[in-house]
Amino acid sequence: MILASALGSAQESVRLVPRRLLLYVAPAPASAFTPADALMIARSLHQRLQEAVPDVVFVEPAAGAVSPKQEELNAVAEQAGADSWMQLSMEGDWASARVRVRAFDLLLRTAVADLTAARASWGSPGGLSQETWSDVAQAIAGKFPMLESAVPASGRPQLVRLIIKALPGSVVTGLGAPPLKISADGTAFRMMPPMKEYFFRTELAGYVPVSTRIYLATDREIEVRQTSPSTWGLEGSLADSRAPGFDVSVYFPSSIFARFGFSTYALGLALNSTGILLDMPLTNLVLQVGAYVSPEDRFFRFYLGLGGFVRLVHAPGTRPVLDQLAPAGVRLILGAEAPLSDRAKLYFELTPTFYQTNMPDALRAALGQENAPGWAFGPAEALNLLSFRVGYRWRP
Amino acid sequence: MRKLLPAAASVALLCSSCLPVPFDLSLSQGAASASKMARDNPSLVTLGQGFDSSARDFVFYPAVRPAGGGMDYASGFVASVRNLEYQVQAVKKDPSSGLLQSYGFQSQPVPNPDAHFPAAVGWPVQPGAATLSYFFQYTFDALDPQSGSRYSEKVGDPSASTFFPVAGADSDLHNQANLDFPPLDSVVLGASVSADPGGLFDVAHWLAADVLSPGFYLEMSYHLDENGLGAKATPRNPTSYDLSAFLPVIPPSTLSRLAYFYDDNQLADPARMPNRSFASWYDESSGGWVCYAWDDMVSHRQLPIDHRLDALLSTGELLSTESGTGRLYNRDGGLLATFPLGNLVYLGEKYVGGAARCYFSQCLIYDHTLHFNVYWIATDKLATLVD
Repeated sequence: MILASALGSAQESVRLVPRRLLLYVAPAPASAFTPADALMIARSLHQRLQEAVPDVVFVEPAAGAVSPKQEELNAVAEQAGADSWMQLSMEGDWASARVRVRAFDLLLRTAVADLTAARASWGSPGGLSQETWSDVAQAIAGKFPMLESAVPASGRPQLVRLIIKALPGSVVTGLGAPPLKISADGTAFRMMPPMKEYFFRTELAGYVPVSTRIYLATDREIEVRQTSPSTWGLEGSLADSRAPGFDVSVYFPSSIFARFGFSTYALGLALNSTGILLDMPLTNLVLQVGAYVSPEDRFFRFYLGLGGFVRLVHAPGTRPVLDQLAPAGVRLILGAEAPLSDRAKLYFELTPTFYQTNMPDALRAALGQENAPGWAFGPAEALNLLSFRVGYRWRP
Repeated sequence: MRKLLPAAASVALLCSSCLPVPFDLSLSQGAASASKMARDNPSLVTLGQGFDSSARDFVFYPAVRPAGGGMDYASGFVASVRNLEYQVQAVKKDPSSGLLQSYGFQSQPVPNPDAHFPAAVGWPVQPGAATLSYFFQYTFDALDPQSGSRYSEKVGDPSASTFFPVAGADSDLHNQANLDFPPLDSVVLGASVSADPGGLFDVAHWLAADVLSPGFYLEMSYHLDENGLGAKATPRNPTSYDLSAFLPVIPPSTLSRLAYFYDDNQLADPARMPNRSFASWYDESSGGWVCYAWDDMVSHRQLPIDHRLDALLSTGELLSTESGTGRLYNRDGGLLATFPLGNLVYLGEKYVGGAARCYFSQCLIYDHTLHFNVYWIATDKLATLVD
């Protein structure tokens, strides 16, 4: 509703306003060029670019003895009423000149061009008459499109204030360079062109990164809710969709996790011709370690891990013992999780499993008369490639 | 995401119905004890395809080398059960394929009227027809109660140096003229076989009810060798005697078979004096197993054993393998050890190199093929199988 209203009002008064670009020309340190030479070159550049890039207003060219830093150029451009700048610096002398051109968009806080080219053809100041600056014009052509402005009277595009409230020290990226840093009072702001959609990400060590998408029409304050994830969690799962399991997870910095739990075949799902429920006195004790390879704020988050397990047989009337058929194994974990809510996720893991066994023939027979799909057997081991796990993960 | 949940759950559950669970309690329990046993190398033998898939309880009885020479896994018997009938096939390894192939003695069904006994050792089919089907070293087959036909073929490989089952027509068990056992008017209720330390023969023991004297029973023992029944051994008593104090005066039809053992104490162990007889059967009225022992023809005692007995071992201990659990008892019925056996089937006891061993067969079925492992453990180490 608000977005539609903003769009509607923008369409009613929209005008296209050209961008204003400050030209700044200066010799590079140790260059043989003088300030006077720089002024001549600036005028040549200004004239040619006005012809080659007519949809940009090139603000009064400036020239100096030295090349200022980027922050200084930003200030000079803003003082000159420009929303962007282009800096040209000359190296060497007239006979062996090289130029470096950098262009920067103050609205997007982004560098849009950076090129270096030789100018051996100059030879002397008189050679400037043959200079077309076509490579420079090509480098910035289309990089400064005209803006839709609600206030055409000033001839300058209106910028609106985007205020971001977040935890002190947070870094906001996606709103141009440099990244915005939240100050000690928990706020930061940046002037931005209106009538645009922005997508920015707020990060702070120890907190879940937050991705935010907004449409900016007028001055606006955005509060970013950052949460510090719990260092532990609980999981319920079904191994191969049939054996229920339970795990306790511990999370370390850098998205590393360790899990300890069990999965049991004592009460599971069989869903075959012999029955619906599973009743096998086997429980696996499992320890897993792994790491996430996707950021926490991605919808689908992928992770890798390695797990080890021991198999306990707990037949009625006997004490639990290691299953001598295959006492232990290791498994690779290729997992993906997707959120159900802020704290809950569903996950799927492909878990190719390696069983240690001294009786591979007996383990093979335990799988039935048919050749079980996905299994391979060696002299003292067995491999199950079609093992998987689905589950529910809760992290307070 | 929530909309996808039902579909994802359906796919996952469908997958679960296709994937087998890598576990079988019987195999795991068998593995627990097998890991403590020895296995001759190579003892894994494979039966060629074409076995009766409707049968169950497959057991491989390897052939026995003479004079305590151990087992020959290149030949033997495969027994199975189908519809309460034992099927027996003589098998030997085909040199080209390396698989066991059936030959000679083909799937001869042997009726077993008592479902409580899985082992094919001795049961009567009608009065006067003593039967001992014993596959470990010798076999004496049954009289078909329906047709009256006698299955007593001589089975063996004359080119091999191994003992092989024989049952010549001149050594039929009911040949009273030759063997004086059993009397024509008797019903054999139980039989067992024990190994002889010399390895040249086994000893078979019978308990038979005297039909003409209700409540009177006979105990007889004979040597078994490659030629069939041999000399009468350590006869308990030449005539029947009264055991009616604990055995039925007239055996009911439900008591068609019992486990019978006779400890003749070949090793002259002072702790096993005097010789003792054991009888154990499934009591339909109480729904459980009972066991009696007697040292002479008068006194008897009921032992605290409520599981099926399968063997009297050379140590004088009694072994039960009922329901995949091994139980070892002393001669007074005291429980010495309990251990898992799972799918390990007790074959019997043999002396190899002068030492008694208990042999077990393990059947593995995969890739639509029967595979057998044969494990053994020294008889006096059986108690170490305790988990």
